[in-house]
Amino acid sequence: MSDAPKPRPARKIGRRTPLTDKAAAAQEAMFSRPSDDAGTHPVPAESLDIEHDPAQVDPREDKFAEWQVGVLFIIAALAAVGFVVAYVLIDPNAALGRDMNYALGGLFATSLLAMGAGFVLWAKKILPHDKMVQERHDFFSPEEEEIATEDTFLKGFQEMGLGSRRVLRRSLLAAGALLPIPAVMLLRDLGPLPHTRLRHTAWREGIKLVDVESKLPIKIGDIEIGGIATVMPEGHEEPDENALSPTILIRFAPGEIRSKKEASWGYQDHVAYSKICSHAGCPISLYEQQTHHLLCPCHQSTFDMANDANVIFGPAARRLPQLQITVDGDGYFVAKGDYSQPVGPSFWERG
Amino acid sequence: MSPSTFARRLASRRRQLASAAIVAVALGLLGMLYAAIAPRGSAATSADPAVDEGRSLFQSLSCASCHGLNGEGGKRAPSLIGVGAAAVDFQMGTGRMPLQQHGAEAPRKRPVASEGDILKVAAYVASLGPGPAIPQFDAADWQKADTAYGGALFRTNCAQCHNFAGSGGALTYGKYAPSLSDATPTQIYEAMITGPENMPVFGDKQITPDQKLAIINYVRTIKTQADPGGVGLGRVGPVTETVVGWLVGIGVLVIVTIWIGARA
Amino acid sequence: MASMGETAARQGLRYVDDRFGSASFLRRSFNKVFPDHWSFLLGEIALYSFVILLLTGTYLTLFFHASTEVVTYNGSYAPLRGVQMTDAYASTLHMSFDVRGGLLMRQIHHWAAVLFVMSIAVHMMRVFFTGAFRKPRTINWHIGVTLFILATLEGFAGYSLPDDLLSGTGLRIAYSVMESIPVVGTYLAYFVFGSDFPSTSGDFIPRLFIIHVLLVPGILLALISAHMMIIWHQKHTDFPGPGKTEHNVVGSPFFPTFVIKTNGFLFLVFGVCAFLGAFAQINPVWLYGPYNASQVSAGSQPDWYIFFLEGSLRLMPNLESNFWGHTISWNIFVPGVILPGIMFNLLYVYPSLEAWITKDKAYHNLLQRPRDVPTRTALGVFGLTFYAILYLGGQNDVLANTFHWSLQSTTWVMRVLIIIGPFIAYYVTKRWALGLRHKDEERLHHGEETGIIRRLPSGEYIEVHEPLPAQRQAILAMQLGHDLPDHAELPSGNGHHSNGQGNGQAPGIGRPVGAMARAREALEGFFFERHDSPKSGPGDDDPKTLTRP
Repeated sequence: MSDAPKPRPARKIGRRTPLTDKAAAAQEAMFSRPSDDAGTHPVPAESLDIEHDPAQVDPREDKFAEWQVGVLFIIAALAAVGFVVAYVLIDPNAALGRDMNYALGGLFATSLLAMGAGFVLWAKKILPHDKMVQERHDFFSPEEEEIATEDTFLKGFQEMGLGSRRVLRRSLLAAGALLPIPAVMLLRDLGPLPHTRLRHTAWREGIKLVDVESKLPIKIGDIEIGGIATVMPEGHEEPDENALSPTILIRFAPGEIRSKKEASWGYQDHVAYSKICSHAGCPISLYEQQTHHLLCPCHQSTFDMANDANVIFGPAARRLPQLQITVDGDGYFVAKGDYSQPVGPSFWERG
Repeated sequence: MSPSTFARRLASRRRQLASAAIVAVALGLLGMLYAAIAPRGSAATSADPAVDEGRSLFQSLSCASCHGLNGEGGKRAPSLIGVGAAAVDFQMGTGRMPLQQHGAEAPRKRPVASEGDILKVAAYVASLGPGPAIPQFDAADWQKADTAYGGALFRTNCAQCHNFAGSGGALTYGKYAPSLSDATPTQIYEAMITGPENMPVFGDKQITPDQKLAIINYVRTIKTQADPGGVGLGRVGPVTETVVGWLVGIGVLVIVTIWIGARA
Repeated sequence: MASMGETAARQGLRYVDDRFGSASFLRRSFNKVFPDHWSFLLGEIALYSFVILLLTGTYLTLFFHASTEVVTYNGSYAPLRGVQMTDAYASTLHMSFDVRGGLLMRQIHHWAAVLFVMSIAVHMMRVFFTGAFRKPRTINWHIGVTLFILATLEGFAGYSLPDDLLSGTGLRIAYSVMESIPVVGTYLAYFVFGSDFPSTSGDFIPRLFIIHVLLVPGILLALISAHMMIIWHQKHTDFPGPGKTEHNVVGSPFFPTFVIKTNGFLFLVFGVCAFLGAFAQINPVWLYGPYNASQVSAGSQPDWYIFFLEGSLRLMPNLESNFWGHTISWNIFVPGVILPGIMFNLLYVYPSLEAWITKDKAYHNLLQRPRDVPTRTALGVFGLTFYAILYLGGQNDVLANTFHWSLQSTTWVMRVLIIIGPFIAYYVTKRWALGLRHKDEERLHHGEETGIIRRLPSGEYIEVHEPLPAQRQAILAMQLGHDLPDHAELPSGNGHHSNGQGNGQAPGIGRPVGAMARAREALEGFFFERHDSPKSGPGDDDPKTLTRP
């Protein structure tokens, strides 16, 4: 046995102890060749236990490898031609354009993949496998070089006088601190100030509840028991312009509403709640008519609609605001006013 | 679509539905009258043979074991008085009833009863009390409806539970809104008017029959239309796209890097 | 022919050299050595995805209208004909259905975006677990983390541009996250979006567009260039192997081998994106429908790199504070702003933190295997597990629906897992790494098992161990972190030049002074945690393993 048992390494993981001279020498022995001025020199593949590809020792294999690469490049070229043909010949509207997408994409992918495979085979089979070794250099400079640079910098800095001239320094600081302010001011008109816009919706007293799609007002009896409708304030029917106004109108069976307040804010088992989630503002209407749960599809906040829209699960911290409703003389649902609290997600000034 | 076609179709639809409703109401009244006269639980006969056959099927298909001998409901199942023929046709036609086991949600299965038997049970249940009748329309009706309008209605009223393409979605505590891919036009219609399980009811005054047909047309159109971009990946959005991204995209490219990096 | 080509090449090189004096630089560049381990190509996936994104993205700008003007769609896609929508959405439909190859380009662009962020993440894991971020490559790690964050923002901006129902829902949440920032949140949201949600002023989509096509790509391009130039200047790291030391690079020359291979790889990455774009549908905006503030779809998910934020919002308990007329919604602010802030900052500081704890000021050009630094590896898996649970949390509704789990139970399981999962992962990883490491140490010091059983005169049976060849021993020693003598010879003058590996002895004898120093020492103890050798009895130091007759 050539090697004597070595002393155990320190059990502290990651510490380093010097290697035996012999092992290190084996490592270094490979690099006793001359290098060029960039510190680079070639190492034959054999010395790194790399086997030569058959193509590099047998001329017939070499010819075969060249053809392999060549065939791949020919495929790439043919696929490119095929792309042009498909573009002209295929009906762009067939199957909503799927045929075109298959043909163009399939041929484009074939062309690219064949090209890429050809390049890789070229490198693997035809180029020599000999390796190169290059010296690394440390990135720090000699100490005298570093000191000289530091001295040069400090000399220049002293000449600037920022350290010694107090007026210069302080006035420059003042100017430097104030100059960015105009830039910030320019950003002021990026948007309007919020004012109290987040506190209000388009709902007002006497405004009819209209269906968001048909734009028709909703009459008592239009909604079946266990039904739900998305409504907007009449005259402000566009959800995209009144994003806090979407409201859901739910009809319960008699006696299902458990909260007296909820029932009194509604009208004959009909209640209206904000559709905008009090968590992150998604429009919620995943309503379960038997359990009376309302689920938000974005973050799964769950509200008990039969009990003041209490949060029973999920990240929402507040119940959904309820809209007080009644019916007008013709039996149409109308709002009794705006929501009594801000609708949608919380914000700093909400309170 | 011009408003006049709309109106004409609306009128014809209404006529058909009205006659169907009259039949249903008549049947229901008959049933109620009968229930009032006949002694409870007796094997008396009714005027309509379908109702009689429906009653015996109601018991032999073991509906009665949960819903009660006369559909009055029980601890494990709701009363069927007043649910109407549409509910029976939907629940049995989608195989949800008879229920195999109690769970958060009754899954869609192969129907146990034949179409004819389902209609008989429906006639019997309709005779228990007035409720929505099985909607009568044919393919030509919904295929004429306005797809784009149906799409807008679908996104407002349906997509929040059934997903943008009707692929289904999760509800609370194990319940789910099922995929609409197997639902027939009649079943979609029935679901809207009866509100099966936890689905809200969308009555004809809230979503008119024409609007319902438009929704059905939209659901059927996107179900049958091609995915122009290739495999549809279940039409559930970025979740499946991500799985493909990792497995096919990164997976294949890592194999490629190993191929390039391999010696010789 | 050959001589004509040769003449032309020489003339060309001279033309350039006459103007730049580039001969010596070019020669060194041609001969520059690149090590060839497969994992070094992961970053190239990101690089080439970016190239593909620039090419396909430029094509898409030829058709996209960054406008929220409301138009009535009248194109080829029948189920939306007659619907009112923004011009942004309508032009996306137009390029998908009425431009031949437009859908293909859109899908390649989107797939390349998905792969761009994925490959950055995978590349970062490779760099982390092999210790490639250590000095002198710390700054390049910082650039890399910045690229990851910017790529995420860039992806989110692009995903939001078509103004479809799904991306609009994402923007609604982004708006709410901005609103949740204390003091300035409301103003910030109004200024960024130009109005209340969803931008009634119409400024937002054009702003997002210029951010997506000019501002962020410009910064990405600059930082990617810097990233590459630093790699070029510092030379690539390599794993220990035959003939490889801290002071050399062994591999293929830049020209021609590396150039050919890397070009091939560019084509292959592009090919995979094109294949996906042809056969796997991504972001079918026509099915989502135009954005409408009163509509939402079940299973609303962002693209994958936002899953973790979506998950943190979903798993967060519903905390909110109200005081003195103000509200802080912790339920959004913590998971939406604080948590990603902490996560990205931890990524930024990790290299300096580890160097400070281990007192490691040395240059490192050779990589470590994950097992060689068990604590770092375990910390990495800790972080990945945390991320993975958030990632799964972001799709909990789709998981619940697919497997018919209860949505609420799924969320609760994840809420528990997010707290205990990372610790379990840490412990398991560390044990595993230590076990592998111990096995390697046995091989280094006792040699390889031969399977030959010999009976000693005493009647004892032993298994003969063959010592490893010297070179393999050297490589293993390097992997396990034993210095080579030439490394130890580096000047150890003024600190930053030294190889300064902690040698177990504090420079000054006695207790370290100051709270920071004591904290550092405690952390060092944690990082280099002592581990007793496995129970192997007194024969442990013997090169032979005892076997009972």
